[in-house]
Amino acid sequence: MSLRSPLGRVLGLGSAKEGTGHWLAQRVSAVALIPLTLWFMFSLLALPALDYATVRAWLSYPLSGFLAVLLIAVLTHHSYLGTMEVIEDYVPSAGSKFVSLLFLRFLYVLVGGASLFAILRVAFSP
Amino acid sequence: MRGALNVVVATIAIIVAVAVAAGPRPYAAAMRVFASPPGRLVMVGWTFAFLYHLLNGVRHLFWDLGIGFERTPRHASGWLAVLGSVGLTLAVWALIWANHRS
Repeated sequence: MSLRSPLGRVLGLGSAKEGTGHWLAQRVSAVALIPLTLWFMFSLLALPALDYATVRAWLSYPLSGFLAVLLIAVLTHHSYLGTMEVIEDYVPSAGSKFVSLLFLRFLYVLVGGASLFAILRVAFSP
Repeated sequence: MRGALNVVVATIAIIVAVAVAAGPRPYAAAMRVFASPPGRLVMVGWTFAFLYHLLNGVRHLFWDLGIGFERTPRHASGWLAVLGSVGLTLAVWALIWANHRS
């Protein structure tokens, strides 16, 4: 057991040299998501019906498909940054933290990839 | 932590996107689930969770700019986020209800 205080052990080591990027990316993606999510909500509200043909026709418009791709990309990134922070802050041991973060990364690439593929498939199929 | 619930329900939106791409039958199956009473409850809850996250997120962005830290604006914007998201949720679902009735 060391008699040095936790503060004494880290003094002079300098900052972790990371973290600002994560913080900033979260804010920038949040700002981008304000118009994107509002566009998504109002578009769905403006549709005359939510049946397959109507929703598919809406998503086939170039502008809808383009904005939907941007929405999924930014939303997935923003959500990934947020859940990553929860794990970093609340998972106690280094081992389970590493495994959780790895699992999270795979999950987000899977979900984001599937969504992007789905939108592009609708946008580019006749 | 506030976004944790939004993460769970955002998954639902992704199921819809994938269902649209998969074809009419998977889409109809997904829509049946959302139209069921527990599905409706989740959708209303999600609308509130999203709108609250949006309003409170804007509140945080103002704090990041150094605006609104004092007691009065801090409390006022907090209530605005809570009551505003409840009001907007009711407005959204009133609109959906009115559209589906006609």
